[in-house]
Amino acid sequence: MNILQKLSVANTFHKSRRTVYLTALTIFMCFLMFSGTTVVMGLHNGLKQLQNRLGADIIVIPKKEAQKHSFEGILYSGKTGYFYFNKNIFNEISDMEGINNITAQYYLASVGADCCFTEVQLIGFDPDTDFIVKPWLQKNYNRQLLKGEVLSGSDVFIPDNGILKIYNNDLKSVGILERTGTGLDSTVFVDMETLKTLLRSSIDLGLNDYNVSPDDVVSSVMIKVKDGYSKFKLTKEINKRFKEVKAIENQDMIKGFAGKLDTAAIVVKIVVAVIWIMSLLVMHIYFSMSLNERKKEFAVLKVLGFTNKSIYAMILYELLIIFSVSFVLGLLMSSVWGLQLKTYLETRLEVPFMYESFSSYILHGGVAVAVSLLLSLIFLSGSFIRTVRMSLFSVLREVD
Amino acid sequence: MIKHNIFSIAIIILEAVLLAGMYTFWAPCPVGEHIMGCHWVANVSVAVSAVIIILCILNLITKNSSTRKGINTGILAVTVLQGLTPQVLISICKHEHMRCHVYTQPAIITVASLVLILIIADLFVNRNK
Amino acid sequence: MHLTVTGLNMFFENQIKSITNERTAILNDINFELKQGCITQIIGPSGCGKSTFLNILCGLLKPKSGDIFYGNQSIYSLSDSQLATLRNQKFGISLQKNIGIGSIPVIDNVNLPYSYMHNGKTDTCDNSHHLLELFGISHLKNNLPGELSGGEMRRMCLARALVNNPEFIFADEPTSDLDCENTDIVMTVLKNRARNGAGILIVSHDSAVYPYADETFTINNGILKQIN
Repeated sequence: MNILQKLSVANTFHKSRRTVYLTALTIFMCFLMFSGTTVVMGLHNGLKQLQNRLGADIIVIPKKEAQKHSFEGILYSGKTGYFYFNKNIFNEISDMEGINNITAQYYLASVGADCCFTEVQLIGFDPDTDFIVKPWLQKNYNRQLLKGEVLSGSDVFIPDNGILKIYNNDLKSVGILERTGTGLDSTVFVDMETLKTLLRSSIDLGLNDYNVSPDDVVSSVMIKVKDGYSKFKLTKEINKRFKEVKAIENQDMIKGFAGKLDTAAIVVKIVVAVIWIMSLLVMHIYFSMSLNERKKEFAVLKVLGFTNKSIYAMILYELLIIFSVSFVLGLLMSSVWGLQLKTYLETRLEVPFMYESFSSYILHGGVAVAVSLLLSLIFLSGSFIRTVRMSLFSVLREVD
Repeated sequence: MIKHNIFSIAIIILEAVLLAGMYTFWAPCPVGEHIMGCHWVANVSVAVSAVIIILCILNLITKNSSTRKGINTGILAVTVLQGLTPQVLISICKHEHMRCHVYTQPAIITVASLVLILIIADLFVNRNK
Repeated sequence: MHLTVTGLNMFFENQIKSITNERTAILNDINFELKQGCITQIIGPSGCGKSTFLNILCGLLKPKSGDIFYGNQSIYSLSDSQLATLRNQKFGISLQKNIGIGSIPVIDNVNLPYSYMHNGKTDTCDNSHHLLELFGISHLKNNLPGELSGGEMRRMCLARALVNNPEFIFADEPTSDLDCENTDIVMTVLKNRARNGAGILIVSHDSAVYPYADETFTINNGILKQIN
């Protein structure tokens, strides 16, 4: 360790209160950058996953529920729901031109039963016509879903024995779907036969007022449009012909939602930027004040023959010590707080939110923290260069 | 006086907010047929918060720096325990969207980590006294 | 090696006067040589420019006109880093106000110029310990400057100025804050340095310094005049 480094370390430890305040401010700024980056990243990842998971070009649901945005509630925030319309409409839509694939889904909500088990959304799908869940099943398990088996979203709690108890029925979980950061993560997929069994059980238990069979009603219809056909035209036609339902294009559903997400992302960025800049200004003021107190010390070092450059180096070492500690603590604390607040954000923001992987989360956050520290260092360097360059005369006059 | 006690004052405020919130904003699920793990987590957290607040008040009253260091070391240990209470010491619900995961656990861990930083800062600043 | 001053003129602008709230100090056409091997004392009424003259001589302040020659070279032709090297290696400066580096102990404060001269090595040289012993503050070597009295701080600053065995020593009020015994010690050390070839300039009101001085000058109304 040379004399400059020794002086830097000694100054850092001697003025411990100043060191602590600067470190605290820097950690706070690191947290802002980390959270801002990872939240925005999480929002975009969530949207991407949602688009992939939806699968269909057009979704048809009851008009009343479309106005209440019930479907979005199921999709984005994990609210459970069930709504139905006459299956005849599904049959008539199936005969329309321009449809490549069409399948119906049936919704049911379970009730929270045991400890740590809450409401889940049950979605019954038709294994003969489904093109949403089946491809995933084929890809990952190379088989069909049998009666009494379920496919669960990533947030559904599966006991160690793999048996999910719904309406007193023991159902075997055969697979867990990839996380989307949306309400679909609290969803359980079953085939129609299993669903009929669950429906009967719910009525027998007195937990369901809707005695509507999947043979007579459906909750939603998913449509894949043929190449060359206009999704917009088909949507318009469905809406014109069937007044009881509303057809919505996938991208419109996502668009309204993506807009919300973009707004959320912009708000996050602005808030983070404003607070970060204010914190930097506070740090600058505090740092300048502490440098001002040390003007006499710098003057004495110059009198003893230290050059301006060596004094800059000394101050730079001090800042590097503080910033290194801040980087480690800031990254550690930010990642802990970020993971803690993730579920809260998902629930409150009602937007899909997910991180690609833990290492990606740390990497993006770490880069954001490093950038924050670098920008702070550059900004503060102006302050200490100015102070050190000050006229030796003006300090000598004070001294003398 | 505030300058020398700023860390203790900040910790009292944080723990008081955590304690009050445990009955309101970040209260776990209410007790039903079963008493779930999060209920006990909340109880432990409230008790620990009360202990930390009392220790910090003692810090404000005490002038002896060795005694203060001892108290601060105790607060540090107890805060670590508070942070480990959800999940590590007492299991909470597995379902990610239940209140304990969304509100209770984040509140406890956030406050505990902040208090930990403050206590370490206090010990560092006053290490030579 | 000699240190000479030619045609020195220095005055403070009115605006500076209003900032410092002191009487303006004026140095008028001063020519002077600081001789090696002797102690030169400057006396004069308060605010007459003694400290300003000292600060100009050791390169801390630039005059309005005039030149300072170290040997045959004007110190104003040197770059900032060369001037800093000169102050570090050839000059020993003890200012009127005692300022130590508060975060390092006394022994490291005294050793600072030595460390810097030897490319930042942090080993303490024997001279640092020797000077602390000479000035009677070796028992305080591990204390921080904030724990010293005014007199102890004064002696620490003087020791720091002497650690590199400089050719020229500039001391502004070196005996203020000191009792008679320590004044004698300090002046004896400086006298011995002068005998070993150092050129010493002392600015002091203290009559106890007078017997040790080989030459005495006074500054009055900007004119430097030798009186002894």
